[in-house]
Amino acid sequence: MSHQYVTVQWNRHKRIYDLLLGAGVVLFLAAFMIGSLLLWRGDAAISAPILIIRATGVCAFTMLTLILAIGPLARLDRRFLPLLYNRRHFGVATFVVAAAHAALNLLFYHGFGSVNPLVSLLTNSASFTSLTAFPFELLGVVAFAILFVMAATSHDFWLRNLSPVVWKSLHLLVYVAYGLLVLHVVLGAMQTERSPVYPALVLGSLAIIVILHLLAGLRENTRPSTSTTPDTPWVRIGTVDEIPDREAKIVCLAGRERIAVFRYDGRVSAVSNVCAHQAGPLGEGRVVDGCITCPWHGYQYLPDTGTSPPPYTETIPTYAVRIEGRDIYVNPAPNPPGTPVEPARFEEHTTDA
Amino acid sequence: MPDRPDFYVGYLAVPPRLRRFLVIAVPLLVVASVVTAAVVARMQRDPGLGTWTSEATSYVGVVGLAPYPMLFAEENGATRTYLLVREGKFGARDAVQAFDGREVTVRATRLERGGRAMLELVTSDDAVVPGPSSARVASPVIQALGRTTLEGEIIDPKCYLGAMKPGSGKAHRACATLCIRGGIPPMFVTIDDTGAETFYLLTDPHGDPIVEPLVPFIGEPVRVTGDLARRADLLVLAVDPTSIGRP
Repeated sequence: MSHQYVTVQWNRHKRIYDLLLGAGVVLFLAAFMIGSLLLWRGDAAISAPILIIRATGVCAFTMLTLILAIGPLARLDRRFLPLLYNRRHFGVATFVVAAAHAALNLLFYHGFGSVNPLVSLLTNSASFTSLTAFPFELLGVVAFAILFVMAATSHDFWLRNLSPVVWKSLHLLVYVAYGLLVLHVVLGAMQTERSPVYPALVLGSLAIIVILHLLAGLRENTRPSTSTTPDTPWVRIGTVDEIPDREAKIVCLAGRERIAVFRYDGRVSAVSNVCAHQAGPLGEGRVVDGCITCPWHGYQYLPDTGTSPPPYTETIPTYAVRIEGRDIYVNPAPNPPGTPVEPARFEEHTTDA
Repeated sequence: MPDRPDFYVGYLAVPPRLRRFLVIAVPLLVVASVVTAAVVARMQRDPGLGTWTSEATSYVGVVGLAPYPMLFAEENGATRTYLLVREGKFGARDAVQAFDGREVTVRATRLERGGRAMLELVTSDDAVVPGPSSARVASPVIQALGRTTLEGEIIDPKCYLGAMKPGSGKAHRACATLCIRGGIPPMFVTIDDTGAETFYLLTDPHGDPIVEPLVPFIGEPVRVTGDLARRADLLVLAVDPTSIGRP
């Protein structure tokens, strides 16, 4: 499984994912609007456009919070990986909901007047030096522009043509967008809405995202690291017995890319820990059907060559590896992506004795 | 070998144990999100009791242009003041310019909140027609009430009275700015401890229309000082622009 461009890459799981996602969005918007309509009725009813603006705004913020939570959650508990599998569609759906929020805002708050709505939006600045008068709309505009770029490039065509590094960097802007949206809410709606529920939810969401990322990062840093010795290029990274069959040990070498050392069928191979697709952590994957399988989207590589099985063409760097007794040694100098390397072999039966 | 967690691959069958987890976790996530939506909806502030009729009705009264276009109508033995606006975020000066001091019949929809009413003229040619009387009529006298300082919010009354609910606060600031710059008379609203609202039409210190000095303060709590006057059922505050500030 690997690259093959189609407009939308669907399979059974993605269809189920998208159906649940769509149902969740509809239920969220319905709960917000029905809840509001039940509470505020007749002459006291909230105007329909404002209700939809609010519902879509709250929904988009909640969706983005969930998207940012999925990554670290899946690192902390693999059972959340299915939520990550189709996160790209989650992101595009978030953009669509945010676009509805932005369009209705533009139309009703900035339209029907004597100036172009876009001019009104961009020039309606009270004071950049006052928190209470800060033009919070501009924060939303920048965040929306980031979401647009992300949604527009949310396809393997762009991933391939921009290169995974540029694409990943571009998509890391989602954290900037989230920060801007937190400020958008704090300096906007929260300046008027007085219920403590709003700051609790917004700042609570931010706190959850920060804590989850810190926990995931902490776990990453607690992985065993090692360093090269000056007299030999080979690095001892542990023994075969500490790696479960068909799984990997991730090796962190100072100043170098992480290496995933896989044990499978009495052999050991070492490849880059970085998937060529979306830089997923290959070392957290498994060997399935003889292929290293990325935990994020299931991209596969042959362990001894670092190439995707035909007809696919992705490649990742490989590393020379050897075994002395039960000890595994890796040469930390990466081979060019797709370079065949003979797997190191060991006696499997002694492992499970 | 310890029991290993299931490994999910999107294009392969979901392992049974993982499936059981997802069958519980995903609905829980959806329920938590829906509850969040309901809680946020529940906590919205009161949008106020504003109304906006959907059907146009005829109103007879005398047009006054200063400081803003309005209609003085006799209702139940008293003069009722209606601020006049057009469709969208525009004042009605152009529509009634030729009728200052004259009795007219206007066709309009009506916005009303807390006893303050406004008429939005229909877009057809019969929005304003002369008569039934052709006599010029003096507009209501102005009664000075003295220097006053108030705390409240500068609003565009069209939205606040019912066109957009809620039509106040920071989120509505841009809209209110467009309305006031478009000729909709700016007003000041105060709310007492019981929730009762009082509306004040804002002018400059000379009793003329005021716009730009108000703009930086629209949609947020402010304090203003000025000379208060009553004109029929309308309170008018000739605000000192230098007095406007955050309390």
